[in-house]
Amino acid sequence: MRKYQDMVYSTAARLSGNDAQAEDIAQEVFLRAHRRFEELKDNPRAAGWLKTVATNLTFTHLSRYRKRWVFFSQLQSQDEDGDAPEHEFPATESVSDEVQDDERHEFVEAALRALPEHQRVPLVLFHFEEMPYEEIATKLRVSLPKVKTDIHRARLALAGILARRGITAAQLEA
Amino acid sequence: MTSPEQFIDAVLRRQPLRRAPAGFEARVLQRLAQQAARPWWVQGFSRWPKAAQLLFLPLAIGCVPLLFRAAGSLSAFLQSARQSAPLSAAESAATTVGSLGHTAQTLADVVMREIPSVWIYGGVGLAALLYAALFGLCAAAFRSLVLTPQHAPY
Repeated sequence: MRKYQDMVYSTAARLSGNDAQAEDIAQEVFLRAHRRFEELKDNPRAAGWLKTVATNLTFTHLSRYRKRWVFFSQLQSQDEDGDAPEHEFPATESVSDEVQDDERHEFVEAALRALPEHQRVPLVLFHFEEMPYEEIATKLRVSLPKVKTDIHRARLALAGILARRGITAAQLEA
Repeated sequence: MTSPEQFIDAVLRRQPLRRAPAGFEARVLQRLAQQAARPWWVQGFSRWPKAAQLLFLPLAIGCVPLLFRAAGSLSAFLQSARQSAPLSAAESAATTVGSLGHTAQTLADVVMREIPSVWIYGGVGLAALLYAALFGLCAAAFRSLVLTPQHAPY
């Protein structure tokens, strides 16, 4: 459990954007894993199983708000038809190079939480869970273009938040 | 120059795992201990011992005729008691219940005698089939209307 608890908690926390909920979800994941302990204890796919269950349980938590979320995010998409312009981020020296790694990590987590759910969820699935667009669209039951648009907008929003904090590509490369 | 995709991918790739809260492990272990301390009959049917699961269904079915017989016997007993002494309110209520049981038993006897057993078993089978179909329909509706596909049991 020690080996996987951070992974499970991270998945739930990043998808749900709520630490208390993530703790409950992670607990439920391990309770279920305990029921299948014999099956999982020497299974090389245990980590994948835990991650899938964490993702699914988080979706179950989020599904209470899902209909409202889909409705409003689609209204918003109709208002803002088309993709947002592709922004470029200059790889120049940042004014806040001194921002320490830990602080930056915390800031990025907070920025992720600040994203609206319809952007955060596909972004996390794409970048952290390494899911292809098609699978995300199937999972979220939305169209492929919508997934791409939401992820694109999420990236722009996140990049904007990070840029205001002085976190740039150059700083990452340093 | 870096595209937003590359930039965000680089940022997120560098993110370490979120650390589970202190005491998380203890909380899970405590919950497991609480669950283990509960007697098996309080837990879900799937976690009952295999022997109990196997015995449950025939016992539950076997209880039905026993209940009819018990109700019939009670009714007969109360009728004989009524002839010997006046009834109190509680006895009157018990008599009513007993009469209902007696009626149900009589009805069951008539059904078993008058209706061919093939029809009865066919009816029971049809009812079970309809129940399973309704259950399946409800489950499918729940999955498609409420849950997304990834919520299906793993």
